[in-house]
Amino acid sequence: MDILSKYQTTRPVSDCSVQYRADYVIELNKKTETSRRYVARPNREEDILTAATSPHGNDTIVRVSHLTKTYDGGRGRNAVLAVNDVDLDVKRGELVVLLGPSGCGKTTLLRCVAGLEKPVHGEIRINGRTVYSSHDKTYVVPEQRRIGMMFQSYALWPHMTVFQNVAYPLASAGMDKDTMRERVLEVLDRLGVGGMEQRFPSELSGGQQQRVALARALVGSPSVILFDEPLSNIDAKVRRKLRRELRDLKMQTGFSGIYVTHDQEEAMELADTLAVMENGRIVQLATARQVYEHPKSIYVAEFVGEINRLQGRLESVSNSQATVSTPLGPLPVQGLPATAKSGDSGWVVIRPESVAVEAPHSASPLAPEAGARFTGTVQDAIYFGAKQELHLDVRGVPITAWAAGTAWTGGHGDAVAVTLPAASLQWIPA
Amino acid sequence: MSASFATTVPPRHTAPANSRLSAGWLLPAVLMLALCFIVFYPLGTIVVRAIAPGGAVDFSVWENTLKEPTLLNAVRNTALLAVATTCLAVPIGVFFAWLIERTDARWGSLSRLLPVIPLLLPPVAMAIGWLFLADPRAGFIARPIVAGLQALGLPIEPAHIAIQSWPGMIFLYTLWAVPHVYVIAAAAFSGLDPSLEEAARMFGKGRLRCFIGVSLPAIRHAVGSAALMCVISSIGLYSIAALIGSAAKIEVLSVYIYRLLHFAYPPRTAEAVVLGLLLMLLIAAMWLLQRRIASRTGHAQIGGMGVRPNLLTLGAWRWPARILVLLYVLFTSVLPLLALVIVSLQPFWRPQIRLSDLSLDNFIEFSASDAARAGIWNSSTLAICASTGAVLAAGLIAIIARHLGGRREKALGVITKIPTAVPHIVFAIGVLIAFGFAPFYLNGSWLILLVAYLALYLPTASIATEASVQQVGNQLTEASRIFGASALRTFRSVQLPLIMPGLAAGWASIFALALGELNAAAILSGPHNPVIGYLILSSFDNGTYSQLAAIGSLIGVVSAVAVSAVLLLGRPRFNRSPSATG
Repeated sequence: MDILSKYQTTRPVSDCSVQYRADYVIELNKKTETSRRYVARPNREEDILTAATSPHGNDTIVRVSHLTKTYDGGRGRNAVLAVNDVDLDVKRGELVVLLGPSGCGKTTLLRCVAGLEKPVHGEIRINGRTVYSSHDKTYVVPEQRRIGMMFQSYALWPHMTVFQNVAYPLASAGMDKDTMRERVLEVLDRLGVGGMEQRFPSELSGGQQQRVALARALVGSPSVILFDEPLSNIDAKVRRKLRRELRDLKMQTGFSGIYVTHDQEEAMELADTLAVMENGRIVQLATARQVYEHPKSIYVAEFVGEINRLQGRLESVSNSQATVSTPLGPLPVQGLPATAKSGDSGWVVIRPESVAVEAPHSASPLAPEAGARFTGTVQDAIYFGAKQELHLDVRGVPITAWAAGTAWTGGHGDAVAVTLPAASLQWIPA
Repeated sequence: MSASFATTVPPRHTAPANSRLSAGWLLPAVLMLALCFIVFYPLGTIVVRAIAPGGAVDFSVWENTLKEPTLLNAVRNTALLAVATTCLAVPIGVFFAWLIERTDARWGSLSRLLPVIPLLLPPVAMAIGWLFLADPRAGFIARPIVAGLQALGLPIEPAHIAIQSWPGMIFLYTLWAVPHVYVIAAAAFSGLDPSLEEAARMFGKGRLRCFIGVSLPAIRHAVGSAALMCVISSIGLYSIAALIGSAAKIEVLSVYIYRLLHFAYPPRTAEAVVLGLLLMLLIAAMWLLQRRIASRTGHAQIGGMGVRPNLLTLGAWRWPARILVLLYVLFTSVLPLLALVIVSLQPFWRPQIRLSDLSLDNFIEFSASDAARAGIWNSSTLAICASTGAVLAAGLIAIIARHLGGRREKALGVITKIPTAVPHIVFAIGVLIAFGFAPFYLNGSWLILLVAYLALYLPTASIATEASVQQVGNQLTEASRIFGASALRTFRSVQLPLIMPGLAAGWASIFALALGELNAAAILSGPHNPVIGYLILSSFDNGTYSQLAAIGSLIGVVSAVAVSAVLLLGRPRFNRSPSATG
């Protein structure tokens, strides 16, 4: 009953869903076992009709398991392992951001999900349907995967008007002209590019092009939208604005998506779940807050945000607390994992905003268990407005600290009291 | 319900990627085989017939061929011409390309077409035009100069400044070769990362030093292939050599080969075939050498973003540079065409222009002649069919190659370029002996010319279409697939419209080239299948210069109109603003 009412209220969506359904039915008649499995799923109608509209729910829209992709390295060279045995789930309404430096495999992973690259091993399921499986030798071509995508260059077709561009996915699905027109205009309107449907992409500003590209990705109500660094070509100010809008839009429509970027600020703003990648693997998969506050490795700690690190060795471990011998002397750390033991080497890390800097005479007394205090020298002070960045020399060790823009008015060569609060010091094993 | 769907939808939709295109592969495969046949069969025939003329290996023909005393002279002349032409045309063409592509000497996008304009006037028409301009006794330009110098008391002998001479030949060959070099160099320059030059300027290099020290080395692979192309086409060029060279008593290989086939009875085909094979081997050796050098020096980086490069400012040199380019167009196209038109309106060629003499009589007489009408009809239909066929085939191949990617893409690219490495006249011999007699018996037919033209213009078409296929970014086609379009629909609604301007440009240039073609036609055309080139040759032999001028100006005007029309129609309508991205 519930399903039926949804069917009626979201007519445009359902129209193209019916068309897609035809594809599934064809699949049923094909020999692929997986599609049979799909049709046998009891909740398939709901899958189709509410893909883009229900913001919450626990079912998995994309499931990537043991995915491996290698590239032929060319004559005489070894194959390059671009994606190495990756598992990743995207839940309904969730935006997973793949973050990593260039060459870490994030784009390859995305393109595997899109079907633009063919993996060598593993399985990908989209909306319950297996679109790739090395075991069953299944490979569904991109045009059959029912996904939306925003490309790095936007990839708006320059010879088509905005309307034709956005209508393309619907026309591919065989939607009738009137419904299509209604739907396209509605989406353009919602994205703030209404009234531009007769223009060509080259006549739009960068921001408008981006919205049109997003409109095209959204219009077919795909089960998942893939973003391939769509903001990397625009200047910083517009980028911030568009990011903001994307976030709003995400809250409005609750689309599920995978978003690739190398910009950690962008990643943290957009991510429900952040997947930090290194050398073809996902090294940490958690919320942005967890990744920032509790990085799993020194790689993640350094890639996401800025961090001070001091190499050290664990001493006197007890009750998940310990002292670490570092170039600055012994430092207290808390919250150690159960496996930590004396003699382990690793790093003590602290974020710049946790480092407290005061004039030596005004510093209040500090209890030993509350942290460590040193005298340091200001090497450089960079003023950013809201905050300032201080490069300090503490016993020959460089430490970066962020202070509020108004908090500090000293300059080069000043002696300061540098406090490293115990609660902010973290241990990361090597 | 489900069953009915299953029967109406082709099964390839959900099949694995490898077999997805199996049905769609049939047409391209057939096409590819047909093309390979018309390209490789004639070349193979030359090899076989040269080595084993009677079915058994026999080198007696080689002896006869090489013993011929006049051959050495022809070889020497050809080598001299090819080297001189290359040494002059390559620097000029590259320099023009740099001026137009990399400096502010360009004005508007139309100026990029300026140096290509001479391609519209077939070399045979240009040669005749220059004959009218620079014949020392009756030339429109040469005669006043001679008279003026003589009036000044200089004892000048008219024959010394004749266009029918070594300097005259080299001058015409160079004028003809420059646009070919320009096209290659301009493509390389336009893909060059502008920051290379900007960096050089930043470090205080002058404009000219920037050109010589940075821009030029960055495109050296293109310069290398332009030079090679220049040598190959100079060897294969027949029209200028036949018209000017014979008057100057300078015999070159192409004319020598032509005589073997047409001035001897029975035709000395076997000797022509041997010469053809030798030329092919020579060029293959040069080609390998060039590739070796090119692969060792590496390629210029091509910038990733589609931003319009900042053009180098020439300052005070801007207008002199532009005037230089305009003068070139004047020399290669405007003046010869003007001379052709004037002579065609005169009852006979004379250096004085009298308005009362001018009439359309030549054209009327010309259109009354059956041979002339047949020639024009043949040439026009051949030009249309050859350009359409070559462009369609090349376009399909380029798209398939793009789809295949990797080494197979490269291999296809090389195959379609092979006819470039064979002088037209040699390829024509191959076509003649392969298709002219049993079992095809196409000698003297329209079809044999079409076969030759399809193969000869395949590289031109392929260069034009490959460039435009590559310009259509991968993401544009990927986006189409993502948004649910099949491979066929992607081709129809995304790829085809976007490569259309490139196809149109390729079509137009082949049309113009084929209309006045006289290298393959010299071998393959005759009284039974006359083409315009053949008509020009016979008018020249008969000394009916006004008729000659009428044909020449007709080709010039027709190809100019056709090419402009196609280029205008094929112009991308979406490029309204200069900041096009995406």
